[in-house]
Parts: sequence; C-alpha cells; structure tokens
Amino acid sequence: MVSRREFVLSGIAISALPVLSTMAPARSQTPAEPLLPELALAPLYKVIYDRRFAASVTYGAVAARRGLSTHAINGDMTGIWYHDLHPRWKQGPAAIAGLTAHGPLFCLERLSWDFQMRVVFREEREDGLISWVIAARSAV
Amino acid sequence: MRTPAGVSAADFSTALTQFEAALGREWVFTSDEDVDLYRDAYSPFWGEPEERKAAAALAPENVEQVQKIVRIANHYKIPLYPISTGRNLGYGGSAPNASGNVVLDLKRMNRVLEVNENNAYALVEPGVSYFDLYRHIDERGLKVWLDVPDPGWGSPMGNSLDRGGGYTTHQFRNHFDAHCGMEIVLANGELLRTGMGAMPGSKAWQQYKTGFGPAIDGIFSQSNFGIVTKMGFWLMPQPDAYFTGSVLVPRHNDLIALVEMLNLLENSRVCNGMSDLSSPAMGLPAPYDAPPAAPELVTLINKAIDGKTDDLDTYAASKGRAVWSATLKFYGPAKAIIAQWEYAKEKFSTIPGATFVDGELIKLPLTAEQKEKVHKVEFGIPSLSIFSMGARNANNPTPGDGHQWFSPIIPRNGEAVFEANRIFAAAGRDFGLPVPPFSIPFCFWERSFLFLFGFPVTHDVEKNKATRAAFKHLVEIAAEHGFGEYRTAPAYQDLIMSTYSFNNHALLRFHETLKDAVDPNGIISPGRYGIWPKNLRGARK
Repeated sequence: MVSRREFVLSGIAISALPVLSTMAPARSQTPAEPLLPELALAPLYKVIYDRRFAASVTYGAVAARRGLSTHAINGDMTGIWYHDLHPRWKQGPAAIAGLTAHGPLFCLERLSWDFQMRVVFREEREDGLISWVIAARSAV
Repeated sequence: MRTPAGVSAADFSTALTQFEAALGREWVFTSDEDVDLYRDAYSPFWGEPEERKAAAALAPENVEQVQKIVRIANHYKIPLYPISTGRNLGYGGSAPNASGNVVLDLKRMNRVLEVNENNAYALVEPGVSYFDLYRHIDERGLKVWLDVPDPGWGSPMGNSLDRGGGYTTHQFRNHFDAHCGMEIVLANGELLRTGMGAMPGSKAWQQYKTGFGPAIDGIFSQSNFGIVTKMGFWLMPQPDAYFTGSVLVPRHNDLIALVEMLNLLENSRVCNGMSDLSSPAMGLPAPYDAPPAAPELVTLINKAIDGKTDDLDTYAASKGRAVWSATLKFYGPAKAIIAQWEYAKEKFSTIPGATFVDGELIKLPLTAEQKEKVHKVEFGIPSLSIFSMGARNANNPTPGDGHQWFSPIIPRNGEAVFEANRIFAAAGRDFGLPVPPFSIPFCFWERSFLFLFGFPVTHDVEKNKATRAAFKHLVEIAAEHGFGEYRTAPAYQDLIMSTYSFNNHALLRFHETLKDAVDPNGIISPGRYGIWPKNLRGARK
C-alpha cells in the first residue's frame, strides 16, 4: 500500500509473443557488438533507447551504426509520442524497436493497438530491460 | 469464443452478423487475439476464473451506428460495455463488470467538434484523447488550456464520466464538474441531449449547464443509464503567469492550523491551483525509487500517529526541517498572484514559527524549452512521464505488474488526516502491507482531501487473493469511520456501493429503479458501479 507519488507504475505484456534467437544480423558486426537480430525483424521507422541505462545507450549506438533512425528518452515518451509517433502512426503503421524498462514499453504497446500494431518481439533481459519491436502484424 | 450470459450461441451469432452489417465486418472483433486486448492489464483477478473478459468488441464510427448497435443488442438482450479509450488503468481499464459483455469501443468516434476560444469551451466525441484535443488547440495557437489527468493518454469524456481529476485550477480540476452538455444514446436507441442541447437550434449548449427542468447529467457518470456520444467541456483561458509559494511549519500538530488556513485561502479563491502537502521532516512523499525510511524515523512517526508527537518535533528541530509544508499554486495576472501570495503569507504568519519560500514566477505561455522542464500537467499539457517510473533498481528489485487504487475521501482538516493515518497504518500492519510511514493527503478536490493508496497487482494468484482481502478490509474499516471511496475498479464496485448504505441502501435502490426504467433489458454495462439490471440482481445478491 503506497501513495500515488511513491507508487511504482509498471505493466506487463498481455500477449504471448515469439522470442527470436536465430535471425541473422542486418549486416556484419564488430566482434564485441551485440547481434540484436530483432532490429532486422521489420523495416524500422525508429529505434528508441533510454539514456538512463548503459545497455540501452549501447543498443541505440548499435542501431545508429546500422543506419537506423534513433531517438533517446529519459524514460518519458511524451515528446516522441506527441511530436513524432502519433502524427506518423495516424498515417499508417510504422514499426519501431527499443530497449527500455517495462513502463515505456507498456505505454507504447497500448498506444500502438489503436493503430493496428502489436508487440511482435519481446525479450526480457537479466537486467530487467526489455528488447522489443512494435509493428503491424502483417509486417513480420 | 465466449458468449454473454443468458444468450444462446445461435442468438449471439445472429447478432454478430447484424453488427457486421451495421458496422462493416472489420469493426466487429471476435477473435481471442483481438478481444483479449480489452482485458484489464491491472485486474486483481488476473488469470483467475473471476477475471472479467469480454465476448467481443464493436467499434462504431458515428452516433447512428451506436443507435443501430443498441437496437440489435436490445433485441437479443446482449450486454454492451461502452468505453471511450479504455485507458483508465488502476480503475478497471476497458474490461467489463461481467464476463461475456460486448465492449463498445468508441475510439473511432474521435472528432473535435468545436473549440471556442472566446468563451473557452470544447465539444468532443468519446474517442478524442487529451493528446488529440491538446494538439487541436496547440496547432491553432488557441489561448485555452486543458486540465489533464496523469497520465494523459485517456479521453476527456472517459475521465470525466468516471469523475477523474487534474492539476490546474479549482473550476477545471474536477473533470465532471467542468463539463457542459451531453448527448446520450439511450438503451432503446433514442438520442437525448441535456442542458441547452435539449432545445433544437440552441446556440448555447456549451455555455449554460443545466438548461430547463431537472438537471440529469450526473446520472450518466459512474453509471450505466446511457451511452454518452458527445460532451462539452469548459476550458481554462490561458493565464498570464504561474507562481508557487511554500509555507513551512515546525510542529506535527501545526497541520491542523495549516489546513484551516489553506481551506480559507482556497475556498475564497486567494490561491486557485492545486496545493501540495508534504513533510520535510518525514521525507514524505518520497520519490518512487527512494530507499525505505530509516527505522528510527519510522518509530518517531508511528509514535506521532499514536498521539505522542514531541519526539518527532524534537527530531525535526534538530535536523532544521519543518514537519509540514504546503505549496500553494497561483494562476493569473503576475501582479495579482504575487499580491495573493503576500496575503497568504500574512494569514499563515499566525502559526508560530511559520516560514516561507517564494517560488519562481513563470510568465506564460511557456516556451518549447520550458515545456520540457515543467511538471506538464500543471500547465494543462498531457504527459506520459509517469511511465518512466517503475524501472528495476536497487530500491525496486521486483517491479509490480500493475496497481489498483484505494482512494477514500477524507474530511479537509488536520484531525481527520491524523485519524485516517491511525486507521490505515493499523490495517496495513495487520495485513502486512507495505504501508508508507505516513500518508500525505492530496488536494485534488475542493473541500475534501483524497488519500490514494496503490495496491500492487501481480500475476501471482495467491498474492492477488491476499491483496483483495486487504483491500476489502480497508474499504470496510474506512466505512466504519465514515470514509468512502470516490471511485474504484469493477472488481470492487459492488463492495464499495454497499458501504453507501444510508437508510437501507436507499441510494442503490433508487439507482436500480432508474435502471429498470431506462434499460429494462439491462443491456448497458450491467453491474457498473454496483448497478445491476433486474435480471442479474438476484445472482449478485
């Protein structure tokens, strides 16, 4: 029992989703670079990473090196939602990926439902972050 | 595929075919994959047989389609559960009160019908989100503000009908009170407009609330008497400036005088924003990722809750911290709100030892850079930032799966705050709940305090059972002391309605009389806020 301000807001996925582990990377990697096969799962409009987590920053850097458009957040999706994703998704589905905590994913997942998209890849890591891809089901 | 209770599979199939004819096949959802999206992600019954799950979902795009759906549903006695955006998580989300209902998803009805800048009002459809309406205003440079809840991903209509609240000034924070005029599809498919909207050709639907004769808008909030398809709202004229000032008082029992003075200043509109109470000495409210309070401090707080306050006062003095702080917020002309704060300081100065901290005067409108830095909801800007909380960290090693709010209304006086803390702290200890050392009340509503406790919801059945038992206990013990909840999730609506029991549940019996009259087949949201149609009432009892 905690107060609103003290309370930890988080959510969890509803859908049962595939975990992909065998897909080839988008292009050749340096030996130390994570493979992140999920980034090749669908043509990505945007890759989101969270500056608060070192692993997420690395993820964003890998995505950028692969030529993907990236966007950094500090946990808060308000800016990218209002200025970017909402106007873009009104025109039609556009796949996005990210490595974030539960909260941002939970929020984006539910917003994406209204635009005929779903979380099509979700993999929770030991550090609690989740790698995910949101796309139109037909895009995968 | 699930079917509604009491409806044969054949009738349901026929009705679905007729719904498809009315809406188009793509807007009738029957697959588990689609219908499961309407589950309540924070259901306290998650994964248990009692979890409320819809049988299907329908997504009309206009009022005429809603009327067609209602007429079909009436013929086959199929219960509908209307939602606007269905994002009221913590209070039920988009899941119905009873399994087998057909969700009537109104998100496609998303037109901003009017925003009047000169007289500061809007008329919207159910699927218009706060972000949609904010964008409409922002892109046109209109000088009006919204009042938004946090998070702001839901809709003005849904939040208002569930009697939610926001963060700006008195007359806009209570979202239902800030509405003006409704359009409603009744259970027989007939269309009704309230207030001035009842007059054909009226030019003041959003400018005068009550029209002529009995004012009935209230019965369509937290209820199931009709499906609201349009709703007007009064907006806040963009103020010239925003200012905050804090008053700090040194002793535990100063809360009584602090609240008395705060009430005077708020009720006389000297300060018009939503005040914040806190306790610097107790370190409350604590950030969500803060470590637990030191045991020694908790002991002092518990003693104070039991009425022995001297040690906490001594501790606070030794640390140079006030026991209580109230931050007042002002919206208006810069000169006026500075003067109002000066007047407030004069009044608070009657409390011995009171000190003051002046905040920053912010000239409005905000620049783009300022918008990124401020607490957005206090400036009428919808936000998703609350979802940034909850990441796993050292102080939060196992983030929860969701929450349910226990939200009792508490009288606006210091004694009641102390009493409520005594009651809830004891109950928390009895049930092993992670009770904060002291619960600080919120000032959302005029004339009353609101306590908000977030009960964790998990996907562990046994933990959820224990949490539900604790929740029930708190509702009952609160009612014993005259504290009632203002809102709750469907799982607890019968329970809480049963506590509003004056004169042998006269209020609920009146609701039921209305329900039987306006929805005799019980097709609209059966069970919502404890109001069951005649055919299901016996089973409930």
